Amino acid sequence: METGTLIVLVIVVGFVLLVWLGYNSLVYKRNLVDNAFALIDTQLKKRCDLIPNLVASVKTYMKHESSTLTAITELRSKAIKPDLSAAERVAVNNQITDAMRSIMVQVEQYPDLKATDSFQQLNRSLNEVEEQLSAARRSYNAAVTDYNTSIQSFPVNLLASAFHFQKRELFQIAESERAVPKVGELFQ
Amino acid sequence: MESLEESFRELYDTALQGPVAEVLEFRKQKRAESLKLLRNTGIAAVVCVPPALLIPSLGGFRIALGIIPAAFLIFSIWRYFTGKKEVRRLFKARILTKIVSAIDPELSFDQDNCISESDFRSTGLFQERIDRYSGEDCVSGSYHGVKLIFSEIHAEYKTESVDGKGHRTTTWHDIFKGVFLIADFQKDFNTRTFVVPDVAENLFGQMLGNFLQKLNLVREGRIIRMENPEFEKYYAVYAHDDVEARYLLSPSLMERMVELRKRFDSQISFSFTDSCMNIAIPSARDFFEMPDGNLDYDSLKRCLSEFLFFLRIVDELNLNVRIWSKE
Repeated sequence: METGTLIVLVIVVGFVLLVWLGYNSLVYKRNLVDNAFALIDTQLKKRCDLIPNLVASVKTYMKHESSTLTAITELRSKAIKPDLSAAERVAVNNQITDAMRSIMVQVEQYPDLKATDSFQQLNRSLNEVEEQLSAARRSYNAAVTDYNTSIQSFPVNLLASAFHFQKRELFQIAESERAVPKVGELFQ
Repeated sequence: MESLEESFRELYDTALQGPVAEVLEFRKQKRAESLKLLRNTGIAAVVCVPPALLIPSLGGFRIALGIIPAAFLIFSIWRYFTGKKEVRRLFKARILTKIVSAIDPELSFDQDNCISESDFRSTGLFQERIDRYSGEDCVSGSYHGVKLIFSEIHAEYKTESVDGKGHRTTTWHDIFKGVFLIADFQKDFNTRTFVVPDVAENLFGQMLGNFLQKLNLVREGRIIRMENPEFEKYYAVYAHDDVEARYLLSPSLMERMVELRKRFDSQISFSFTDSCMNIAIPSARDFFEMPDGNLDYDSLKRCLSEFLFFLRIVDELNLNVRIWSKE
């Protein structure tokens, strides 16, 4: 075999190898992002499952705030619909976060309710889910950052554009979540 | 609520002055014994050395005469150090136990005990083979409702080398020397997570360090990047489950771990195993010892401060906050 042919062959094999490795790496990172989002989804569902218990335990005390309880129940019904897109699900769940925080702030006015075992147990479960949710969201954002960095870096960006790997959005927390104190502070 | 200063003053006035007097009396007695032995050594030297040097006719008996004061001297030195050790042990038994119980009645102090080698090993913080393991001054029980145990630990491994003449030399190397603390963690978890000093990035720079950490030839789990840059500057996190690692290492806990790193100014390592948080604080200093000189109020308060120095970790890391499912 001639030297020129050999060089061309090496370049072609090297190019194919690079494309193969780059493509697989992008697929792997995209799957990590999808997997991380599925974990957030699991935690959101867990939180939705706790809403009926929350409403049941506070409704006898919070008769004057029944509109808040009705609103959160409706939001839950929306959130568990199977046909929601990822963006819609995030938006509904951000509204649920707001509604739950509002309930927890109102609970402050009912020390008897706060003192009940069932409410304390429920509050612990809610804190647990919130913390798990926060961890899943941080993992998702880490996976998205890694994936986005890959598809924007040369030369993988050429590959990403050729195979239509789209940039993913970070999971932003609701603005109110930054401002309102944590529900855990109710214990303090 | 009483301040720490007031409660310690009360403890000193009501419960410590008696034991302090007892320890001082015992120390005085031991010092007197040492002086007596030293005086006897002097007498033996005066009686035995001149004949040994000046009377050649004594023959082999001269050596025996020389040995007598030397034996007295060796015995005096040995008694001096064992006496000092006995005083230190009495101090710990009578005074440090009371100080620890006063901090929290649920806590106890045992000068002869330490975290067991198997517990130390199972925390997974140190991978080396342990050839020699020792420890003392164990505090265990419950502090502000958190079950914990901490003690001084010295774990070493040995290497052997043979020179050209066939002489074998054994060298001991520290795996860990310092204070080791195991505390019940407030969240449930299933996998093992490690937070160790970021040696690779600090030694080899970000690019190469990062590459080596990703290769991870040493630790179990894989490297997890956290979003707090200051935390990342000091620590590297290895875990089997990145979501669980982030669940354990909440943003606020990471900030507190950075503060702890600054307060101790030491290469602290953490691990989360078997429902506990394990903290290794390396230090060459010998903690929880009897102060030199007078056992007055200030010196005993310094002993209290040493215990609080480590117990405050529970408060600083909020380990006593129980707002999650685990009770």
